[in-house]
Amino acid sequence: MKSPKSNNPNSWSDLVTASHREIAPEIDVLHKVRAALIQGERESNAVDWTEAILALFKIRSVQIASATGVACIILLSVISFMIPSADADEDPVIAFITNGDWSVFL
Amino acid sequence: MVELPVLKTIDDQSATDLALVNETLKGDLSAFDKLVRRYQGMVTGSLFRFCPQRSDLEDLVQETMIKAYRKLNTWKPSAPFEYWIRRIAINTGHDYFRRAARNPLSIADKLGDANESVLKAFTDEKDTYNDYHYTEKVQYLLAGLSPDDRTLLTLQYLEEMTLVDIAENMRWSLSKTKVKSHRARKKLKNLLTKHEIS
Repeated sequence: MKSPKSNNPNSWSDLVTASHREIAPEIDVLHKVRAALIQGERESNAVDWTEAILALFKIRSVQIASATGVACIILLSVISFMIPSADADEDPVIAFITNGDWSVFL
Repeated sequence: MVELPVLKTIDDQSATDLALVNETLKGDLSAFDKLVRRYQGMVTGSLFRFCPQRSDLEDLVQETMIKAYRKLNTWKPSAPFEYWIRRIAINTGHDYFRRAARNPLSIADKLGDANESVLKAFTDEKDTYNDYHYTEKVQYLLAGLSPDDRTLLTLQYLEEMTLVDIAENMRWSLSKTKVKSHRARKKLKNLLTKHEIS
C-alpha cells in the first residue's frame, strides 16, 4: 500500500507484508463436496416429484375432479350433521350408504 | 447436456480440464473430483486472504466448488479453467463479506471484544492469537469498510492483483475500479488513523 506508509514496524504496510508470508492451510474438501453434490441430487429428485404432483393439479380435468370430490365430502358431512338421529343406526348418511335408503333425506 | 467445443490452441493443462469438464457434464462425478483435487489448493489460497479462520475457510472452499459444479456449463474453454474458478472463489469471498456486513451478530462477535484485543495486540511482538494472525489482523481492520471496499482492498493488497484484474474479476469498469480504490484507501487511512496505526 502506498498510503499510509512509514518505517514503523507496526505500520499497515508491514502488516500487509507479514500477511503475505502466511501460507494458507492445506484443506481437502473432496469428500464434503462429493457428499454435498450427491445430497443435492437427491433433493432435486425429491423436488422433481413435488413439481410433478403440483403440475398434475394444474390440469383442468384433475382440478375439476378434485373439487367435485372435496365438495361431495363436505356436502355429505354437512347433511349428516343437519339431520338429527337418535342413534348411530339412524344416521342418514350411513343408512344411505349401507341400504341406499333415500327416504331418510326427505 | 452442453457440449463444449474443443479448441486446438489451448494448452495441455486446459485440454485436460476441458476433458474433465465434459465428463462431469455427462454425469461423471469422479471427473469433477479430479478438478476439485487439482484446484482446491489454489482456491484455498485465494480465499485464505478473505477468511483466515480455518473452519469458515473450509466452508468457503466447499461453497466455491459446489458453485463451480452448478455453473460448469457456463465455462468457456477460450479462457483457462483456473481463471474461471478463481473468479468464483473471489465472488464467494465477496459474498462472505456481504453476509458478515448484514449479520449484526457476526459483526458484534468478530469486531467487538475480539477486535479490541486484536488491535491491542497489533503492537505486541508475541501475538499468539492464532497461526495466521497477520492476515486476520488485516481483515479485522478492513471489516470497518463496506463489503465492496473490503473485497477491493483484499484483492489489491493481500492478493496483490492489479486494478485491471480486479476490474475484470469484479465485472466493474476500470475507471470505476480506480475511483473505488482511491475512495477505499482514503477510508482505510481514516480508519487506521482512528486506531493510531501508521
